[in-house]
Amino acid sequence: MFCPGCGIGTVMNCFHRAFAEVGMNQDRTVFVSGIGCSSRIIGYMRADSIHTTHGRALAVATGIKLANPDLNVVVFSGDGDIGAIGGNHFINAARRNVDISVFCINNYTYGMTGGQASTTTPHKSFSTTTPYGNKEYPFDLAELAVTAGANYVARWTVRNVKELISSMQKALQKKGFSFVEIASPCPTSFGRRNRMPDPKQMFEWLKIVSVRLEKSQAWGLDQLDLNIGGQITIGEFVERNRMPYGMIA
Amino acid sequence: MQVKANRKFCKGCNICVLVCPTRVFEEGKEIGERGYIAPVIAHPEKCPNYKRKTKKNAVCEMCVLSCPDQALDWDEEAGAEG
Amino acid sequence: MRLPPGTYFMQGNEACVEGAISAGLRFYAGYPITPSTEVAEGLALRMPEEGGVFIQMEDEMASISAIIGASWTGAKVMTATSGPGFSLMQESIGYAAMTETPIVILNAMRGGPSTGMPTMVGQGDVMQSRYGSHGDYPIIVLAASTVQDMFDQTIRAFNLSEKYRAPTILLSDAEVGHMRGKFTVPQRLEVFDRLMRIDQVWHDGFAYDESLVPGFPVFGKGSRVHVTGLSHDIAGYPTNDGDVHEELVRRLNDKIVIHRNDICEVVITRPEAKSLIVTYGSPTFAAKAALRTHPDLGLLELKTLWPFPEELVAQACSGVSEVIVMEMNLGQMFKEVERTACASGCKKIRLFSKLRGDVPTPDELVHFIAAGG
Repeated sequence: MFCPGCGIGTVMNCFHRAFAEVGMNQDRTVFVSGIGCSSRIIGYMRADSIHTTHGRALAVATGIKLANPDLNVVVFSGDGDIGAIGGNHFINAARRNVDISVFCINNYTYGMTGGQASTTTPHKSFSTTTPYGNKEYPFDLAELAVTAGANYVARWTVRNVKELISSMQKALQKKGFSFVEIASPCPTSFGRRNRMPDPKQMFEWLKIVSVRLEKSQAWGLDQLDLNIGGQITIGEFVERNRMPYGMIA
Repeated sequence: MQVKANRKFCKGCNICVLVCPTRVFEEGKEIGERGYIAPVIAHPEKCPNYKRKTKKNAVCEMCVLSCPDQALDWDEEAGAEG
Repeated sequence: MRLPPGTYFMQGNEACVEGAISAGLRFYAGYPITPSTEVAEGLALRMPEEGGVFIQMEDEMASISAIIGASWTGAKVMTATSGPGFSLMQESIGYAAMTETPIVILNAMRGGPSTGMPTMVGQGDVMQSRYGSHGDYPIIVLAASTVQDMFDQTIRAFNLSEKYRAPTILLSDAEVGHMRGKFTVPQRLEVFDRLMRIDQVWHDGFAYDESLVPGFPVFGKGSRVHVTGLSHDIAGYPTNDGDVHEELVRRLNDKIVIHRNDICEVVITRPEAKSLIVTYGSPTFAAKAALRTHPDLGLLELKTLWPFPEELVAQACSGVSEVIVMEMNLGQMFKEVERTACASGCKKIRLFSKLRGDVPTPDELVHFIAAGG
């Protein structure tokens, strides 16, 4: 049900590859999602899945994991679901370091409902609720996860398929809260209103504005300033070994 | 082996044209059965996997992994070694 | 381990904790709010002892979402809240009703609306407990009026929610929750578990028989069930088809309607009396005291509020010349009782409502009845 050129299909390909390579038990894996285009991905997975209310995917995932720690819990969600309405659950789940893997497909808009501004919509971008340009500055979701205490945080775009597969594998195997943000194109809702109606244009834009973390840090500028100024820093942000929630030392 | 396309899945986004490093694909001109103008596999022999035998030793999988509709896959029977 | 049979003296909220553990509670997620905080504190102590899980979540929406997730792993779950928190949970209550997830919510009602009077009693959430969420959805709502009720009705709430796969709300109030009293644990406790299925449900995760209650496919057993709040077919996958949607919504609501005989419960004292007091929750103490001094009064105590026990109330009201509905709100149950009593022939139905944050006294009640009107 995805539009032509939607990046969610690419994320699905990479996830299937990563899941197969890790060798996880399909019968002991539960997929959780919120509301939005990204959240429909779980309907295409042949496993136990639960499509919950807007923003509450991480709370439901916490409940599932704590009630049955033997299950592998994987969350697919979007930038609005995690960064806007679900923001509180996002930072608290990262703080608790619950042993779940979260894949946030960030398309910089609310795609399903027609293209409204999201908390990650770039400054001065156009959307249906910012017809004069976005007055606000966006969140850097990966940095939020790092500060809140997640064990593994990475951000890639749909152009970096190999690195994305590798990060997904790491996220699935890592104990504790793993967060992978995937910058993805939405030609229909975001691209069309920001001079990138062709899927190829938004795919190309993602490559142009993304800069490797190591390279960006070498410039010595404030990461936050760069990211809210329109750059997408990609790479693995943090890899920690904090104790996951509920596990005895 | 050679890359093959499932026309039933393709929605004509042309991402494969963009990401292929050796320009195997080209934008198409005919409207397919679903109403989209699907890209064509213009130069399959330019693909780095053309001389490879199986999926396991594929060196570049950009098109197969990037296609949002899972329309592309490897045909191990075709290609140089097929 | 659960309380052994015997007599105990405890706070109402503490009795609720013990009732939940006796019913088999395995997972509690909650947020503190007066006057239900003692339930969370009690379970924080008792859940690890019983091998269950307790977690304090960041807000009420997270609490109810977490218990919905935990319920799908097969565990019996519960959360406790009061008015403001209950309002926050409404969306997910609708979600639990749509996905047929068994959950139990304790709402210890307090003075409202809004922040109201957190430490004083009220009964203003009765209509909200039935219609708080959007859409046509089924719900079971029970009421507790004594410490014994806090134990018994909690167990009953778990049993009903497991049996009918519907969210069940137990309405207590600040008075019943905080009062201390005696209650007994019987020799044998009836505890009901949901009917589970462990086959692969690829095409019929929500298929049902004449009981209208589908078997429960637990997560993690290879069922491969898809659960969604979107309108869905019997496979569990989303659909926009009009016929399928109508079938789903009607079945969800009929599921409760056809089993109302099992769900609805009332207690009648002195059924031959000509004046009948209808009430629930902590005001029943005033009614019971009034009955002791006035032999012409009878009492109909509603133990189940929704689905409204229409047949039982109609039966109790037939042949009665006066019905007095006593509640601590502007008349939320009153309208339901009035229409039922009128239909069964009683012509005089009055509302005694007390909104001052404390329970009605027997004198006030008797005075109101004597004043005629």
